[in-house]
Amino acid sequence: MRKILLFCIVFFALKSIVFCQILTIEAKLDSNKFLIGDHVKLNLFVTKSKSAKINFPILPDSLAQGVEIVQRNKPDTISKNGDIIKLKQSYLITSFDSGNHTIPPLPFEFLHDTITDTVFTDSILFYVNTLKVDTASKKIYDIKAPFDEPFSLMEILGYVIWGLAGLILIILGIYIYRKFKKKEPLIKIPQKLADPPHIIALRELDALKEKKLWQNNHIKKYHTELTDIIRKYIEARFNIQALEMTSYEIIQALSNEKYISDKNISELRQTLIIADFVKFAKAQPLPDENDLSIRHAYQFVNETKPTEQIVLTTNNNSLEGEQKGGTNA
Amino acid sequence: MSITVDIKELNERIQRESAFVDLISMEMNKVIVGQKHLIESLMISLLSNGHILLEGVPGLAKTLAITTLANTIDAKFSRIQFTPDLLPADLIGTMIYSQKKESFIVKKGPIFSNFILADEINRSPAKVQSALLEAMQERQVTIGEQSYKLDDPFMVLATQNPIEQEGTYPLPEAQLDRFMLKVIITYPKKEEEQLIVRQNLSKIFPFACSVLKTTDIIKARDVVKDVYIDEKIERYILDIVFATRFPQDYNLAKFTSMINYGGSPRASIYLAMAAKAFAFIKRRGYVIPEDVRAICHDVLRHRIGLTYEAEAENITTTDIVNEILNTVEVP
Repeated sequence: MRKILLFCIVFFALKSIVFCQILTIEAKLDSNKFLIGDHVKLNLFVTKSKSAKINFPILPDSLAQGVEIVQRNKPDTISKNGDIIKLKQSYLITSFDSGNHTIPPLPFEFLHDTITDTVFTDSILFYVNTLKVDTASKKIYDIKAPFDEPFSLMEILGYVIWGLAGLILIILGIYIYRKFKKKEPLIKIPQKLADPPHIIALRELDALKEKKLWQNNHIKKYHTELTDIIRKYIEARFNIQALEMTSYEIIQALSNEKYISDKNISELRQTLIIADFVKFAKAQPLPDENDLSIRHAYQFVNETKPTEQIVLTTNNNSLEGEQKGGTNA
Repeated sequence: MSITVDIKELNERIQRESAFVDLISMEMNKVIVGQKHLIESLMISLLSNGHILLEGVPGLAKTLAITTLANTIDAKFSRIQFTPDLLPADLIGTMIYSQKKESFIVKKGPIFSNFILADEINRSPAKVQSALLEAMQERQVTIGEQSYKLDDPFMVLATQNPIEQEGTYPLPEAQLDRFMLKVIITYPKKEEEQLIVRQNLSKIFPFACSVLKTTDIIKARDVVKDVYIDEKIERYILDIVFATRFPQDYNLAKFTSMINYGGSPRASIYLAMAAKAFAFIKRRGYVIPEDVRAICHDVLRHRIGLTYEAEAENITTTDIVNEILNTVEVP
């Protein structure tokens, strides 16, 4: 029985020795004395056999009262020697409380074969120095106001772009509303400068002549178009609402125009009367009368169109064209 | 230039048949001084088988003109003074009990005449005015269960006074529409009024003689119907009437809010008929735009309903018709 007990004691004692050889944990501070607010490195070292598994402790943000972790680094292998591996994990810590502080023992979970155990580091004592302030000789200042950020155009660029876009939309809206109200097109296409009334009338008379309407027995259409050309010309040339007037009213209105001769009025009256007979009384004028009507129309337009006078300007010896109302007759 | 055979013939017929126009005018001018437009309008109405409403302040010879016209024609004439207590039966007649025949017999009213002078028509209430509707349109009158045809020609010549509002009953639109023409009579000129004064102070007041028979009028009406009206003139008439209904389609959008209702199809019919009659009076066998323009105001002025907005802005139907005539293109 004694032999068996001795064997067991020897066995467990040897096993402990083997463990000690393959696992070392250590916690070290760079400095055990530092100024308040300074950063100090806390290094955790683990030396273990390759097969052993170890979990580094998960440390809270505050290691102890007044001791804070500022930065955490991942565990890293720093050396390999055969079956032995050395690992390191470092933390950056600081403290804003002066005086003595203690980092408590840090737990490492250890697994070897089927054995799981927790191993602790030694606690570390350190001292945090404070700054000496001579309040007698130094003046105490008030808290400084926050510094203004330097102005940058980029900061307001977004607002400027959106503001401009909004302004353009408002102006566009007002423009569209006003155009809609006035019943005008949104975009005015510049119109070609219109020909003077006599040019239009002569062109239309030429076209009417070319159609040979009365020669093809379209006498009513011929006289209707002929009088329409004359009435449009009178409206544009003399600003008389000839299209809305009867033949009698047109002659009455033209009688007051000083630029029109009695002969022109008489011929125009004859043309309009013949046209009225054709249009409203189924009259059939003779071919000569049809031809005479258009000749009278040509004559009326040519003799009542604005005449172009050449005015000699003696000052600059240049010729100047001037349009004046009047007849060539 | 040669006028087509039918128009030439028509012109000759008109020259023959319209001789009485001068006779009537001459007889009327014996009694009525000036008022050429009134006499022409009465003739148009007579020749077109239409009714006429004369409006004017008192003393402008409205009633005298109508009685004078009736005197120039050998026809039955009735004058009815419209009063507030007048009843429809007083106008068209009624059924009365005859003790002799022991049954109800028809007592025909004064409407059974050729010419009816409805004097101051707006003094009677609407029920009396409405009694005229059937007579004016259908030319018949219904008494009891029997309808009676009226004599031909049958013409209602009504007068009304525009200034008195109290105790008057404005004519309903349906009644107004049945009048072919509504003529506004204005004051005579100074020289004309001087002649009127002299005429009234003389010992013998002139009297118009009968120069025409009813058969002459019926014959003349047939000729008027034959007066040629071209398609262009028809379209011109329609443009004018449509401009009263849809002014915005004729560049007259400013009147859209002013016109409550425009001319009815009767307006188009009467414009054409009156234009033909006017051409006849002017001894023409065809209608020209001048004819349409000459009668346009008289035909349209009572057929356009104005809105309150127009009344507030003092826009009259005459203003609207003027603007329409100045805007619609003449053929």
